[in-house]
Amino acid sequence: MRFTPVLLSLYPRPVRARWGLDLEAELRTAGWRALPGTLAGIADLWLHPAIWPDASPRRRRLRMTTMAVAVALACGFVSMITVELGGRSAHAAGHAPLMSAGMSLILAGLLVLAPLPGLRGLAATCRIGVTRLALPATLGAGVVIAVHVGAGGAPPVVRAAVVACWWAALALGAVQTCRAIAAAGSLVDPPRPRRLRAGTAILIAGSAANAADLLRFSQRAGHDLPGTATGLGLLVLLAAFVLLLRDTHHLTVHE
Amino acid sequence: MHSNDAQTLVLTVLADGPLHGYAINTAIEQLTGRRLGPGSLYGALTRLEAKQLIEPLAEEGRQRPLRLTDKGRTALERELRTMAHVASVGLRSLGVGPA
Repeated sequence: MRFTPVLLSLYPRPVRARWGLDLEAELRTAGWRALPGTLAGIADLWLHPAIWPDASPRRRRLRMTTMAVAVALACGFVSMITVELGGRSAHAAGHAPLMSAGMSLILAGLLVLAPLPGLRGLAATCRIGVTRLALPATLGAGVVIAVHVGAGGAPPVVRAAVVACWWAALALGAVQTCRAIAAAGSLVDPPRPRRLRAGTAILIAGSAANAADLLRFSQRAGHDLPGTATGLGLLVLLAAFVLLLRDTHHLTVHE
Repeated sequence: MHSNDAQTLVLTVLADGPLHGYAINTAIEQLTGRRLGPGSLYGALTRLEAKQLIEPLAEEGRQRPLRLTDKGRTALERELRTMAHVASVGLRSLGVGPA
């Protein structure tokens, strides 16, 4: 295939590390007809971090936790941005009790799943957190300061730039949080299978509540596009959670 | 071809001895006339290793051959016996003798 290096880079790193040379040779000889199957295979591997090679039970749980946090932050982010920037129905959905319950459940699920830093590596864990989150935190703080000094009364272009910076800070914060968890690796204690299952189940409930809320209000408004699209998108993310929850059942209690 | 079929094919060709990824697909091509797509093959290899049905040997150059574990051998035998039983029942129902 022509785009072999690009396709290879799409595979999870542990998979590339294990099968790199053979995988590259296989991708080179495969024709265009193999492209959909290859992309489906890549997506399938990303959705099952529990099966990636070279994983101790601890590392497997950390990978699953990172994925759950990534999907949860994606759910929270798309819900918030739709409520704030979507149409009237999405805005109304954001003020409904169901959405509040959904966001609270997502927050609770994240707290349940949070990997606990060990006392010995506490300083190093904090250093990783600070390093990774410095940029989004600075960007977010900059937006807050800009609003307080009167960006609200600035020309529309400036206001749009400030709003864009705010959402960029939140998106970057979400990405960097996942990278910080992955980077903390040996310094943190990822949740045991029971806690992993409980946290994932709570996240499923939260995301389902957000999806139901957005779809309900969108339907009332005659299928408001942003609300419908985000509601359906959340249902797709929900499928990722369900797969993850299913994989947690393959973890033994002692892992 | 379903992922379980791909896993059975991988186990079957590894029953002959250790092979690395690309050679596994070449052996599958010799057996069935078709190579598995990269998506199916590496998904199957990753799953089989996670289930401890296959295991990597020491690296040969930049490639790592894989071999069947005892657990893998047992799983393959069970799978093949089930398939043989299904094939024999199906052929009998069709009134056709085994090939």
